[in-house]
Amino acid sequence: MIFRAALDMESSRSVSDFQGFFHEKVIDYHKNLWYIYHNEKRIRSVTSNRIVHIDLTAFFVSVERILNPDLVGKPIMVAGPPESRGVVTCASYEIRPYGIHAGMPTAQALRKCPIAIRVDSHFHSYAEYSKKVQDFLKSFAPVFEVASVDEFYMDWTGCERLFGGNLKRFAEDIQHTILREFGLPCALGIASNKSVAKIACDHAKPYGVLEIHPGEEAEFLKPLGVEVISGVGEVMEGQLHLRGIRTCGQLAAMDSEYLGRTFGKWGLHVQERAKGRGSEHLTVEREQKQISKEETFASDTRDKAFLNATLHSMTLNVSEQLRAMDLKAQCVHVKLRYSDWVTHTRQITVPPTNDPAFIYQTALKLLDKADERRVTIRLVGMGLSKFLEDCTTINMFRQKEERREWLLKTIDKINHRYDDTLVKVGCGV
Amino acid sequence: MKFTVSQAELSKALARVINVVPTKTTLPVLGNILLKVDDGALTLTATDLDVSVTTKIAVDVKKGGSLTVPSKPLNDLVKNLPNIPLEISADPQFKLLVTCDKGDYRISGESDDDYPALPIIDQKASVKIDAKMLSRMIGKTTFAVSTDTLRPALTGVLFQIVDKEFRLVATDGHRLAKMICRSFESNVKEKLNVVVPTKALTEVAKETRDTISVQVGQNHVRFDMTDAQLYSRILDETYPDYERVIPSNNDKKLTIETQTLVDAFKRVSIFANPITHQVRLSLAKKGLTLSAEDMEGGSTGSEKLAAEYEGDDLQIGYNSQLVLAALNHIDTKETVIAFKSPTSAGVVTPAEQADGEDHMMLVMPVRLND
Repeated sequence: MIFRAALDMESSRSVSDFQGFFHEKVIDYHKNLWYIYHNEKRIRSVTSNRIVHIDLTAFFVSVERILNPDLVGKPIMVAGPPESRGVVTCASYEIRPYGIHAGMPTAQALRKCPIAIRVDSHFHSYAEYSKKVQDFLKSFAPVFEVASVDEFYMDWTGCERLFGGNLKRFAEDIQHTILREFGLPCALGIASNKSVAKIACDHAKPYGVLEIHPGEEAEFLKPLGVEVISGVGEVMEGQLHLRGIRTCGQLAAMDSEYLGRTFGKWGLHVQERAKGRGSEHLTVEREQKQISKEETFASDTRDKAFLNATLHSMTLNVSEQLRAMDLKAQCVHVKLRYSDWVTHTRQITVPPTNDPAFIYQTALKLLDKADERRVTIRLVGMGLSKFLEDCTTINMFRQKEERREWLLKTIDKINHRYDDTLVKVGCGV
Repeated sequence: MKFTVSQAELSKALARVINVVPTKTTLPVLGNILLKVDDGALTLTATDLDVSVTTKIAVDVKKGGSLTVPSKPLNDLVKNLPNIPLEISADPQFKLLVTCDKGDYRISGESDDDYPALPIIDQKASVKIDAKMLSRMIGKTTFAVSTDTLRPALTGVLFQIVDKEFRLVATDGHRLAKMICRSFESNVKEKLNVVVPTKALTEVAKETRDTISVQVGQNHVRFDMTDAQLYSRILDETYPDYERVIPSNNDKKLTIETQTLVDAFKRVSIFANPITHQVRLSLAKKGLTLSAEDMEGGSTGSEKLAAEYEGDDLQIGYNSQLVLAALNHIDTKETVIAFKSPTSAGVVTPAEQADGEDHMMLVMPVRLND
């Protein structure tokens, strides 16, 4: 009854309406179902998988337009400055017809479309908006995968009746709510597996919902070009074109033995995708194995003091992330790229640590080791890996270090509460 | 080489050395056992280069000689034979032939040329101690050694002679176990400090007959036992100054029945965070309260225990696994734990010390977040 009441409400539902009506029931129902589904294979024959892929359309541009409403309707791109070799990270739909896409150097993009307005990126805001949308979506699907900052998967298997018997209509409701509440347009694809759901979503862009019913996957993919399949890169696409294979339908119909001989296991994998098959298992939580940061300089340099200062600010950043996760790292690595793109990396195993002073000293030594040439440097990066849980029992032989760890944690707390830069190490100011 | 030996005797001798044979090695010959026959005796030797054991048994020698044979087939064969006389011989191609009523068995061996020689002990100190006592001391300390190979010194046990005390100390930085024995003989005039790897001590602890004589050399130490000799490399590392971290002024004293505390810790820690195992101890005149909560799981557990407590009220957090490991090595009815502050070590001791020994453990607390 409660669900019917919710569905019968007028179409202008707010986030809290949604969450109020559905949250607990959906979570309980879905958790039970998910449990049964994944533990008893017989359920498989009764229900078909319903995987939803949701993509926030031109996400960075949308956020920039929220932050600065003057940009609405204008041809903008989020990109680094052309004078410092910046690249486009997101282009608005207005300038896409000019052939501008993410990854293109800003200078080239401006040449192609001189009217484009360049906007600097604000990654903090993107993460914030992404988090808001994720929290909202999670109330409809406890089995939720974050594929990237603007792409998510939800498992709605067996939820048809719960969501009013029409998943497409329900998805549209969610889509409208996200636009109204967060100001973010998005597209949704619903299918029996992740691969088809993503392709359906790409088709529904910039603002639509496309549902591929069970058994119709192959039919839907048939006329589409092979490049829609994730895993078919430029090289493979060219190779397939050479063999006269242009559409997914042709790829699906190809002799798999021949495909296996030509492209190996990957070829067979791609063919499965072209037939409309794919994984329906969502990666609920991904274990973070490494924290790293790198920076490409505006102009190539050999200025030691500048390199060291860059390394220092990176160290502060990554060590704080590590402490926030209550972890310690046992491996420090440093990356260095010269102006001729020759890249050197060095790493070292250290006793478990999250102390920026120690990590910085280690990184400095590694940088010296890595820098074997007298060529200017265009990029420096550093990172931490091999994580250990921060053992909270005090070490009797390291009480001085323990006190320092306590101090660092307290500084983190102060910075977190007031301002990210309130307390800083001297040379980081 | 040719000799006759009873299955029981040989099986016992093999059991003495087999544990030292490394399961994985880059030097294949270390997977073998060295058999040497001369002067009416068979000597068996096994080594992993860090620890070597050699044992001698009387056999009926027909012809002397030596070779090395893979330890596993020989040990498995002897273990599975009944107690009957075995005639063992080796041919010039280093094939070991075992003949008995049950059948004939042939094991391919190798010459002993490539087998590492036993270390020579350039003796600088010796200690003689009751085997039972040494075994007890090892048992009460080795549990606290570290597994962190980045600090090799802490992976072994410190053998120390100081102030007419023979001490064994082990620590991993979070807990420390110290056992002192006063009845021993030694030629050490002043001080002795050597760190012995744990693997060697686990073997030594199996010997509980008579006395054990410990010969300390420059790089190696030798344990002379009733029927075997064990050689071990000394860890050439500086042991941290453990005495500095043992608090002397812990003025808050908890006296409690050991088993009661162990049982309560086991129950309450079920509800602790599975990673930190953090249990909170609230100490007051009226007794001790143990509590734990798992923020993620949302479960909690708490128990009030009757105990004798002297000192100001105190809230202190511990990793329950460290406390339980320490309490498991207390063999008196009551345990005494002395505290000072929520961030300094708690000293765990038995309520009464046994004659001629002094047993204590330290457990470092967990910082409580409030």
